[in-house]
Amino acid sequence: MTAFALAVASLLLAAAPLGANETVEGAERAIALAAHRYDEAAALEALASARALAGHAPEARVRDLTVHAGLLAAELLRDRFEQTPSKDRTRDKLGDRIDAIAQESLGMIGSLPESSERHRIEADLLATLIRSDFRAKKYEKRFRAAFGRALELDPKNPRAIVSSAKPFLFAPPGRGRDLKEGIQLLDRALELDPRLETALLLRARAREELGDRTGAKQDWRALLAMNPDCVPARRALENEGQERVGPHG
Amino acid sequence: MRGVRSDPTLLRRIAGGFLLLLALPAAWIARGVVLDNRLERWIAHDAAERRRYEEFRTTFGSDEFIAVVVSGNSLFDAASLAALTDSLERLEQVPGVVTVQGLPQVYRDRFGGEDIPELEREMTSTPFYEGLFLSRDARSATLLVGVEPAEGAQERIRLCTAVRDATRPLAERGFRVAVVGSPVLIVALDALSTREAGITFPLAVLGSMIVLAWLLRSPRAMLVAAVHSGASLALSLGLVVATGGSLNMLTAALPALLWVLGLSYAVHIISRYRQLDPALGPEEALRRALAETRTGVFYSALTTVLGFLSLLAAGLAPVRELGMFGAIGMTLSFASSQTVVPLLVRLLRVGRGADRAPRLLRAARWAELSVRSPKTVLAIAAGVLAIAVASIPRIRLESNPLSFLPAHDPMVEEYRWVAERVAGFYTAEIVVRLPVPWTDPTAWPVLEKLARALAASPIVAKVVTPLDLLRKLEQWDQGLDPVAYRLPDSREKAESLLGNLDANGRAVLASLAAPTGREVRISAVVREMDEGRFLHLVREARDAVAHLPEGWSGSVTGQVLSLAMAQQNLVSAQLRSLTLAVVLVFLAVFVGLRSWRLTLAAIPANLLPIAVTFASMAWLAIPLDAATVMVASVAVGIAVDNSLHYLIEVSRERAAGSDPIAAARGALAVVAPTIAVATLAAVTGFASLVLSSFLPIRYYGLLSAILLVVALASDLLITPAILAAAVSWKPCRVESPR
Repeated sequence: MTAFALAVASLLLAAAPLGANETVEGAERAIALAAHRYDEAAALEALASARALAGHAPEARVRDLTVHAGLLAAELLRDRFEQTPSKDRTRDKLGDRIDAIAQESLGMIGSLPESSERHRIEADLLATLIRSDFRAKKYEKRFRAAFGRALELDPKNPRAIVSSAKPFLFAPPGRGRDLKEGIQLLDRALELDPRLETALLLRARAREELGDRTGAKQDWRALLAMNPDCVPARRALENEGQERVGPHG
Repeated sequence: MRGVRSDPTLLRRIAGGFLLLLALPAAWIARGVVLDNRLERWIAHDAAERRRYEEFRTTFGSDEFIAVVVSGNSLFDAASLAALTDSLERLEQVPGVVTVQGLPQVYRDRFGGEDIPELEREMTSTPFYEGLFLSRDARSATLLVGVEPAEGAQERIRLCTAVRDATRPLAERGFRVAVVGSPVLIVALDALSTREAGITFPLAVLGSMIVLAWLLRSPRAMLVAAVHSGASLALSLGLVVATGGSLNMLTAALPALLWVLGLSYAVHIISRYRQLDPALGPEEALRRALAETRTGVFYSALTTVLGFLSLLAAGLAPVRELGMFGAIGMTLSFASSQTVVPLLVRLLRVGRGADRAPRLLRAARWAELSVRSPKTVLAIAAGVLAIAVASIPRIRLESNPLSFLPAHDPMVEEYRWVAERVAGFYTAEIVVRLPVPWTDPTAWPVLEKLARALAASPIVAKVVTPLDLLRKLEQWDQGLDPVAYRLPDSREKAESLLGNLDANGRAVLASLAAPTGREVRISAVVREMDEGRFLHLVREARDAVAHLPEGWSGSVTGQVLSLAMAQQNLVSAQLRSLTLAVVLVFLAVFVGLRSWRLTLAAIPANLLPIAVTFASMAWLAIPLDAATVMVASVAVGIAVDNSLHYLIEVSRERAAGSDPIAAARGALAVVAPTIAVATLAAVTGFASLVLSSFLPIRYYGLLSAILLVVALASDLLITPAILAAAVSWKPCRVESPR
């Protein structure tokens, strides 16, 4: 689920709002930095900063920041959730935390101006909530409607295309999973924005799952070239090197 | 060598020594005897039911399962669900476990281990899980552990032990846990029957030896009888193990049976020897005792062997094994009685004992009554026979395997506890073949009607059909709204829902519907172990299947039904073969006595014990099942032993010139003490089995003891009375044997 985090991180890096007062700018910088470094703690701090702006900055701006920070935090937490063993009792608490943050952001998203990005963010927030069959059934329609509306408003929104690829990439086998179809959508997103970290990261993962190690490696390298702080890419390449050399060097 | 050949006594001694030596390694080998009660062994291979069941398993998979039922704690809290999930994952790792379904599996696989309130809502808002995974009050849950049939007893024990171990987190969480199901019950029956066989056999030995001590009053004589019986038993069991055989619930009683019958042969020889010893001296007394008892012992053994051999006609391997091992055992026992007994009598210098025998047995007082008032005795016997025969139709034909265990056995408690709460223990499977794909809505009302008919039975905890799965899929497709728990509105929708199933869902579907779509399974989960009530359900199901619309067909099957039908068929077959056994035994009696009149005289005294034994089953509410029906077939061979000894002596008396009345009386005086001693020892041995906690062994012992007591009374009263009555009608009816 690092992919979710990357999707938002890249978005935030590209679209961090400028020109607001110092406090708002500080929050924006904090969000961008957390996204750049895949730093969960920093993302939670940025979210807290955004919330703290209430009453000190224009309401719409605060909401916008809170939603962005919330998505980043939720996706980074979701990444940790996926890596936590199911028997670990902290996993439940992590899930509750993701839910709380995502629901808070979803509660604010209606007041953001109508745009393809607003619906794309809504889809990605919903994606952080979808962690089981039950939740897939619960949120599926709303999720599809959200990225559908995002693409309707801007068919060339690469992030919305990435969101639309997620069901193909993350659905369980036999329940709509189609990695090749997902990769095609990611290719299209990358055609529109070749520096879209999320798309590259998701494609690298999908290629790995399909057994295309060369293709995956190319994507990981491209990611690392774009963002030397891209933790998943660095780890993947380190693992690749260890596997090639062997456990004893 | 010529010397050996020309000296039968020496030859006999060598043979006796050889058998005794052989008995030592045989006893060592016999230690490895195991019980094997695998269910498959109790199903006849050529039966139509067996074929139906195999087809069912090929199409839908195994219907054997273990139910782990938990209660006593809140189910829907994080700690409980963590313990349940932990157990689920342990169970999934157990070799032999195919699937595990239940609350924690839904929680883990469908809810990702989250959303407990939603899980509770999902589990309780529709009838889908009720009665199967969850009790109506949602306070008890079941993990249904689908298993592959175990290859052998040890594998089954390992499977059940591993399943119990896997439930440890539940007990640690404070749940009360019950583990039920066919494999668990078989393991419990195996364990109990093995333990009881280990306890009851020494009891039978002790009981019979105490009686022998009281009656023979000679430790040396007792030792001869015990060594002879022990050697025969060791050789028989050693042969069972050496040929790769095993014991089962029926043959578990075989050691006690061989022991007491072996004693009887030795008692006849020793008693006659001790009677003759004062007049003839040891060597001549032994020679004469052997000569005089050989015919009786031989034909006694022959009739018993024939009784056992009649079981070879049975369709079930365990019954045939009882027949084969019993016949071999009795043959070895006869061989030992003719070789080991004289060898030991001589070696141990068994002393004179005629004057030590209790007065009670020496004076054949009963004979006076039968000879003096034969018509009265016969009238009473006829009355008893009439009452017994009239009682026979009241015998229960169904059994309850659970009642094989003591009423307060933990397993019985667990079954009762589970039946009161949630799931059943096994299933009745109805396979329905449809003229249209089952996803066609026109098929649904028919399937629904069939399911309703089954669910109406009070012994059915739950009926599972593929339509339940369809309803659940529709509900999930409609955003999980419980109101949407209904069948989809079209075949296209139904097939679309099924087409989107994941691997787990497809496995569930495959267990409910054949890939062709024209054959489905309806499972009635049963919470009752009484065979009668289960077979009533089967009859109702068959009736419902028979009333399916034109173009439809179906059949009822399942593991437990196969077993129940096998048992019913076995009982019918054994009752038929009992007639054959009676004919064979009396043919042997005729050959032994060489007199059809004496053979006819033997019949009433031997039919009465069989009739009374069957009637006892009605009076004592003992069901006629696979275990108890064996008593009659084997007993007809045993019961006739005393008649043979008595009638052979009558012939001998007549040949010596006695008149018929004097011959009847004289023969009684000679053989009554011996047959009384032998019978009382055997009765005590069998009666000891009544102390067993394992019901089949207890019934076997009780019914055999009743049979032998009645047979003794019949031989001492009815046969002499018949002879006396025959004389009073037409003098000198009794012929001497040629």
